[in-house]
Amino acid sequence: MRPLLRNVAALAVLTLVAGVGLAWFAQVTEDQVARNRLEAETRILRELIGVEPGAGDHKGRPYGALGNADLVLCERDLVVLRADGSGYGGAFRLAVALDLDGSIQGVRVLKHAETPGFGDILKAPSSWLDSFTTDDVHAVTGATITSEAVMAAVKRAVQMVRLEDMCPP
Amino acid sequence: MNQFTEAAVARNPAAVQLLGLCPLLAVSNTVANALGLAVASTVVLTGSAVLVSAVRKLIPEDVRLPCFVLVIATFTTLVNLAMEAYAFDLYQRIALFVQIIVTNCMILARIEQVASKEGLGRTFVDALGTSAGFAAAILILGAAREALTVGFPLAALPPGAFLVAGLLLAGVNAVGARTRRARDGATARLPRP
Repeated sequence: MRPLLRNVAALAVLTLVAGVGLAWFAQVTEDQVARNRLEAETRILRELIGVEPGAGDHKGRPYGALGNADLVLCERDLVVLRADGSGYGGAFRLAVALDLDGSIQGVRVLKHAETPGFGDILKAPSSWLDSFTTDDVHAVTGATITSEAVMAAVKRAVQMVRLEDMCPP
Repeated sequence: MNQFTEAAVARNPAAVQLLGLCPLLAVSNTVANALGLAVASTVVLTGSAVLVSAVRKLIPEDVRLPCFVLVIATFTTLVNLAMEAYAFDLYQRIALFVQIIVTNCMILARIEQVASKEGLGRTFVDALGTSAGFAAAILILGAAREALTVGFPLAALPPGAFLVAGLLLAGVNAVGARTRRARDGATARLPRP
């Protein structure tokens, strides 16, 4: 009985120390990690729609991260939709830029968890992502699940959006 | 030969023991990525080894492996969080391979063989030597692949990792065999233990 207790006690103490240490360090780095993610997302959006930092959409919302809402830039004839989906490695998030007629101006991946190498088609500059601006988009051999999931998410976002309500005259 | 060079050269984890080859092949596509992973592995190995050595008399024999893995996993997660907060560009490129440092048998081997038996000083030197050996291997492979990319684009892709690493290992083995022959002289024909 005594060796068993000793084993359990050693593992319990070590686990407790490790858990407390990790929780503390996660809290220390939390804010900086959130800033980094926002910055990275802002950079991708800036590249997608060419808006300068500090600009906002027609309701005065800073364009930075998409957050939970779409981004509407009426004077520029542009709407950026957030599209979520699930690929081979888990959830991904896309930004889809549309003009007010509904044609796709660009697609960027804000985050994904696809296998390195197979997920390279999601990394701009990518001729596959650029093909969304044409009507000719195909699944990619070797990354079928990833590419079909992205195509489905873009299609869903474009079909669901009601562009005519976005910029009332 | 002192303990550091023995750990780094004679028992080089990558070139001689062939440990830690997964990250070695995957992250050696550029020198910058290789350096990032080398630093992360060094911190995890040295931190875990020193901590295990410090508490080695409190760890029961029966559950030592779960304890070692727990310590390694904790250090790996700390390094991962630090990288996400303070080196985000690098994190986006190599995060997956930093996370799987926890399964690197090179680290568990050093802890089982050295840190769980030896004092702080010897453990620290052994961990630094092993890390230096791993860093040298991954940096040389990274530099070779990045240089070869100019005339041989395949070098930067996964098959290139196997080709270049295979050639480097063959070279290291040839040098090692020659050194042994020169040192052992006439006894070289005796079977090695």
